[in-house]
Amino acid sequence: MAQHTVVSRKEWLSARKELLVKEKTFTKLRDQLSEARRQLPWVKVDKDYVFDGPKGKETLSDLFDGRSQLIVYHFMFAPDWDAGASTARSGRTISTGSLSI
Amino acid sequence: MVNVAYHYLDLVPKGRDEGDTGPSWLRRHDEYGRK
Repeated sequence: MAQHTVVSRKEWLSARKELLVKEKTFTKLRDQLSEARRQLPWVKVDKDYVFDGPKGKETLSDLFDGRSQLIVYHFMFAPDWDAGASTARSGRTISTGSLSI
Repeated sequence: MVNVAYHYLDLVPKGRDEGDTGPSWLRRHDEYGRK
């Protein structure tokens, strides 16, 4: 850990308030970024995907279960795995996407 | 800044979807889904 200067409470408060300005700027920027993400154009998914799950075979529409949003994350098992992460392994890729009807 | 729920919601198409009412959807962890 880096060495820190030790100052009076008054000096600390002044520095903390300066940082707060930066934190608020960051929060606003993140909100703008999130808005830009929501404004991205859409691509139509017209391939008839079928999934194997606990309820048997389901289509992509089935997975929405009547809701307006679906979050998908891609967690890849090696061929001999029954579940993820039984031992520490490298080579897992997790990608996420979200879909909207 | 550290509200992770919001960070996840900010990734999806509808975002936080709170309308004008702000975080009034918040419940104790076992009270969601009750009428």
